Amino acid sequence: MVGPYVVRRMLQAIPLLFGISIIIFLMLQMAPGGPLASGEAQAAITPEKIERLRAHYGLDDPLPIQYLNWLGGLVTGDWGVSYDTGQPVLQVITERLPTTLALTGLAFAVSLLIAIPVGILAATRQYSVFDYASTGLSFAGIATPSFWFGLMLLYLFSFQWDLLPSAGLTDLREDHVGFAAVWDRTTHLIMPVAVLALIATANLARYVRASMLEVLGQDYVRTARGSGLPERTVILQHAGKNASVPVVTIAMLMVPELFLGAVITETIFSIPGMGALFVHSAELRDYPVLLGILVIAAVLVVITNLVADVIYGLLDPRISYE
Amino acid sequence: MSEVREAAEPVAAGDVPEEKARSLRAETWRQFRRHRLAVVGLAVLTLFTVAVIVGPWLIPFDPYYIDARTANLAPTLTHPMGTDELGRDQLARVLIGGRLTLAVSAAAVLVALIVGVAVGAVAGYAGGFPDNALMRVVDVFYALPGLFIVILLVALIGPTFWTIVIAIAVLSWMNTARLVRSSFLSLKEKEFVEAARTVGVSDARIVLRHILPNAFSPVIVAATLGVANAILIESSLSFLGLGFQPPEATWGGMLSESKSAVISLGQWWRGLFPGLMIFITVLSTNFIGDGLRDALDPRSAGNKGGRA
Amino acid sequence: MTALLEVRDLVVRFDTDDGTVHAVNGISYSLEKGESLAIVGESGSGKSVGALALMGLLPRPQARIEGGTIHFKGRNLLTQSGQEWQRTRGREIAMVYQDPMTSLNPALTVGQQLSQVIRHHLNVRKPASRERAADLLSLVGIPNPRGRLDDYPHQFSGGQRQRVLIALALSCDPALLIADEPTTALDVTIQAQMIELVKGLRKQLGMAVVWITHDLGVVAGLVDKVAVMYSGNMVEQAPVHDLYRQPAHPYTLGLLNSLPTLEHGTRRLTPIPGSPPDPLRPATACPFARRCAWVVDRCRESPPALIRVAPQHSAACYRSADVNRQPAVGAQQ
Repeated sequence: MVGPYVVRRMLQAIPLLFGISIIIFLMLQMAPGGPLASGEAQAAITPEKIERLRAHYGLDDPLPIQYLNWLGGLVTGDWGVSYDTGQPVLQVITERLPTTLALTGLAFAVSLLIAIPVGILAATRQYSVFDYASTGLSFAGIATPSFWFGLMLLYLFSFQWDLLPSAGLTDLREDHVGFAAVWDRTTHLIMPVAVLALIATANLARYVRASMLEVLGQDYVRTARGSGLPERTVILQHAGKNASVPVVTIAMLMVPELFLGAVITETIFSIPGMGALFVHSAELRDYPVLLGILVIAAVLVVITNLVADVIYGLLDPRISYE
Repeated sequence: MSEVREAAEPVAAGDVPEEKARSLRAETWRQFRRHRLAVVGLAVLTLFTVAVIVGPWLIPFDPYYIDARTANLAPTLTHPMGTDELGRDQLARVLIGGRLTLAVSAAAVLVALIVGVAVGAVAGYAGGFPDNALMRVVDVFYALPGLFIVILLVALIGPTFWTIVIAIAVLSWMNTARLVRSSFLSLKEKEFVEAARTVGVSDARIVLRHILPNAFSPVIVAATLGVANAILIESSLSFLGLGFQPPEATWGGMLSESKSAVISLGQWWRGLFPGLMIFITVLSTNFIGDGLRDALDPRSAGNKGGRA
Repeated sequence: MTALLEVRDLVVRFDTDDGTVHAVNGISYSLEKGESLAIVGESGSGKSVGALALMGLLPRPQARIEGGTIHFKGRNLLTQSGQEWQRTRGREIAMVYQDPMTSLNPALTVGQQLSQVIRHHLNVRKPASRERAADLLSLVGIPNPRGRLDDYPHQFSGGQRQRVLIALALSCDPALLIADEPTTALDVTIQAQMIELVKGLRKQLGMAVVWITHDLGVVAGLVDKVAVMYSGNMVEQAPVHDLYRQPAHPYTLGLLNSLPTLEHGTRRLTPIPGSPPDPLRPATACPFARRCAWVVDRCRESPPALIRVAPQHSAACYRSADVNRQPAVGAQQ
């Protein structure tokens, strides 16, 4: 029942992916000077070499042909070669991807773990001190620029109190083993994950609260209460299951946001991930790498949308897969 | 309930349209004022706007003047936000930087608004194939990896004022388009539009004079929240070193420049104040947006209680 | 012997943005075991608020119970702890709600919703609770009850959903069933079925019923006595036949005159002119004075109290004796 539905949704996502890829491709073509502008500026690269590169990458072909060639390469695993390092794009990206995905995943988990209980508690105790405090903090969290938050954390925890390392993912001066290695990794991750999770947590807590409040006012919650069910059952099972439907959608949409937000986090904490790679490649106009990262990000958007749809359907029995 | 309706009707019936519009505005303002945080937000944002416009003329420091004798000073009465490593007064830079940040954000929202209203109006009014096609385009733009695209556009075309404005606007127009479209879809069936059409009013006039003003409430709210978003994007861009280039100051740029001073030298004032400005501005804007939403859309305005 | 339910001087207020709403202004009534009472009034009269107070389900923190007592089986419900309420609700007092379309949880199957309540109150195992759930569905007349346990509410029609809600209310054999306008959201043909169903179940199970409605027409063969509410006040209370024969309050008379009757099919219905007073202002006069044909100066000076006009019959009107003399149909010249 669910299987064909997923397949159909995936097929529906294909035109979307086409649209995204065309826009991304065209944006790169729009750049003044063309793809090799930065290379041309470097004296070390001779005009002949540029000519060879142009021919090699088919840059003299008409745009639609270039697009189709690029698309064909994407599907067959040939994502081109980095102008900067000469390494295959797929390899450059797969080296960096796990770091960013781990950061994204951790931040997402932290957001859920904090936002869901806080949102539920705030909604069930509407107008309480806890409600006001958490709502106030959510508002503040949404308005806090993550890079500023990161900078202030670094000032306090690294400079003032010297509790946490300020950069990187591991201690490069010492080789830790066993528990020490885990601890080393953890201390390096606390601040980046906190910074990345901040806005998502604040947003999600607000959504959970609003969604719970909406559901708690529904007639069926009154029915459950009126049946004498314990408040815990009423809130977690009767209200919670219904409130989770819109929350899941919002939460899944946050995954790509977190992935993109990792650019900032990686820059503040000097973490070698996709975000840092993207900024670096943008400065160098390393087109194949830029295209590759954009494709990954777009695919992530489409996948999370799909997952959101499927979970939505599983949670709400009124949605039929037919 | 019927009592309320009876009381309201004679007043509305006696109104001429213009007075009605004015009283609607007055009513919106009255509702808005009930949202205390929104009023505070409006006051703060007004204060900041005035400060960044006239402030740089009032204070005795040039934001670009380099003076080694005043380098790295912690906040004092003379330099309330301290100075940077080139001896430049931070307050002067915060004010001149705020001017740039606010101007870029306002311009980006304006461009996004124009594009969004145009696309939404065409889609909603035309319906059918144009509507479908435009909405698919909206879907695609929603699915674009936002911040990456902004970075890319600015890095490729170069960090000028209008590049940054356009890059932000390119990713901010879709909400407005959807809102305007749905307003149009429902409004074009309404009697007053039918009436205008039967007496031979042109399409353009119907859209501009009859539908658009009525579709405006949700767009205003979206635009206000869009300003907050634009400020954050511009600041992120500058923080990454891809926005306006030194010696030009923006809040995000100042934070970027302050990084090593804050982390290695502990000069907290370098990082605290520019970030605080972004924070307060975004917070105020969000409060204003919330207040407007409550004032313009009575359904969302708290629970009014009442009898079962 | 104490009554099953004894409500005394219940006062409920609501805090809203516009001020305090005087929803219920000191109502009293009692109910014996197995007895049935209809509380009649238009929307906003406070009849539903009064019923929610019996269940401890008034919306918090907006609603406040300002005064009065509700004694059920001799104990005061208003001083109960949350845990005691959980044992009372659904077990001893159960409620059937107005809108069957929204009163069942859309995300849980009907079987889950029923057996959950049965397990909670009766302390039985899952298979036994499912067994009972199926029995209940069959009791309220749902065909193929066992097969429908795993269906979701959206797979039932409106009338069937109301039957499910009735089954839910009956799941633990409550001593008191409150039916809050359970027919208003349904088609006319289904309405009659619901009324017959509750009537039959009441006889079969011997529970007391409080039937809340805006329609004086449906209560005739359904209940033992009727209480009429207007603007948060109880204006008349009487055994059902006395009320029909000899109403003692002008509002009751107006309600009866606005009913279409078969015998007088050709007569024009007489609506009551005007609308109820603003619930935000505390009453300093008889709340019905502005719409009343019998109004005298005294009515505008102070609100009349509910006083006895005949055995078991009371009304809150200075001129109840004059009203009482009017024949129910064709009054008001």
